[in-house]
Amino acid sequence: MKGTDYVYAVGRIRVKELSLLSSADMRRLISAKTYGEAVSLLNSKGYDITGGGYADAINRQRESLWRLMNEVLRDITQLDSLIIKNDYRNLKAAVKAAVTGNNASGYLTEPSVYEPKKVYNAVTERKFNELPEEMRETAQKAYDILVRTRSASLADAVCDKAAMRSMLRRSKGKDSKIFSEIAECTVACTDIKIIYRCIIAGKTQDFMRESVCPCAAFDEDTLIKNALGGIDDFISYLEKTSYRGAAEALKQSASALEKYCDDEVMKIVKKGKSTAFGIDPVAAYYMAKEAELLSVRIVLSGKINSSDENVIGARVRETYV
Amino acid sequence: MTVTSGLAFVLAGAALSAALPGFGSARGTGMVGEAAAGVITEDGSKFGKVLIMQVLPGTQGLYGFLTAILLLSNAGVLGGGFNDNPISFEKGLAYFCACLPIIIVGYFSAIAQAKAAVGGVGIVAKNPDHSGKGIIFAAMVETYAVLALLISLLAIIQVSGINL
Repeated sequence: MKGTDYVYAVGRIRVKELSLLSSADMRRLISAKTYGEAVSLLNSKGYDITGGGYADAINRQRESLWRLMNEVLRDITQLDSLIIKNDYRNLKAAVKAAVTGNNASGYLTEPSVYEPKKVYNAVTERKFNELPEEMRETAQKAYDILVRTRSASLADAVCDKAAMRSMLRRSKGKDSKIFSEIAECTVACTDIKIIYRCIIAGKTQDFMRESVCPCAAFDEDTLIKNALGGIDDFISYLEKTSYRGAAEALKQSASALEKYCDDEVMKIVKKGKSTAFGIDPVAAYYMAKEAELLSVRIVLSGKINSSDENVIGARVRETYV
Repeated sequence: MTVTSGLAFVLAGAALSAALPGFGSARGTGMVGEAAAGVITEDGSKFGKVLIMQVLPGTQGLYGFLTAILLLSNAGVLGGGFNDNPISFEKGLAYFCACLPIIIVGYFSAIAQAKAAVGGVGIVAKNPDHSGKGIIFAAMVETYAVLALLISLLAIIQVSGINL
């Protein structure tokens, strides 16, 4: 589709952007004295948090967001690289349910490219051939690992790597470069987080190789070689890459790294603010709203647990507006 | 009416003057209309402001129409007088060339103006108080359509006074 084919969508999205929480709103939310005060602030912004708790309200917001995307986009598959991670999250839940026998259907995530229930049923019934083709091998491998080794972390790593590969593959050939930029950044940041956790948990080289997804930002061998040298070597290596900010974040805390990674993606997403044509503003709004929902979850769970304002503020993601 | 090769050029000039800027305006107003509809879906109170944006790329079609009418009138196709003075090949070609500025600039400026107006719709959507700035951005493109119209009109008037 041409850029001018999205003008209706962009028009709607520009109005919807007004209802996103601004950085000033987020500061007010963080400095709310109580959970109740934070809830009433969010309710004034259309969150409708009632007695059911904030999780329901956030889910409703997410459903409404996806409905909007379906309304404004003629080809919703344009966004599949942004949501494919949910499919692999569902796959992980299904694989664990298949091995442990527990019912994990309540943990399935939407929106997704494939019907979550179908994925779940295919795995729990060991009918891997009924899975989408791209998931079959990964599902079988993760299932075998879990059965043989009981290593949930390795099974998760296999699924996560497949998710990242799928995200990168799907991001190519879209109507905008923004998808491939988001995918490249997400994969690079995920690799950093994975390697960091591997170092902390003392994982082996083989585990790292199984977990890390090749991307343009890092040479896989160099990344793993530095990781095997310990956290200081890893940080020194990162300082020489375009993700040197991750090194600074790592020196602070794991949550600072999480925030850094999401904020890096947000930097790319913000390009959508200054584009009048094409799918960029739509994709950017989707990502911005998802980031907002994550921040709202962080703030409200912090308020419930009476966490310090500064602690909450340090974890809240950068806003789009 | 005596059909000459000059007449064919006159008719081609008039047809293209009406068609291409008209096509550009139709595309342009359609494009801005889509963006405006997106805004109105979410906020109906902005109808007046986005309507102004939609009208802006429509002027090129009027300019083309005006040029075509003036050409047909001066060439004697409208209002009679053509049989007394059949148009020569050279004069017909001159008339056609006179139309070229509005044919070319009219079409492309309508599209360019529509793109600027779509940007203006974005301004109205996010900051209605600044809608005037959006109108100015789009109206700047109009300058070149007006200049092309002037040249075409002046050239047609001049050609009609030349004996070829």
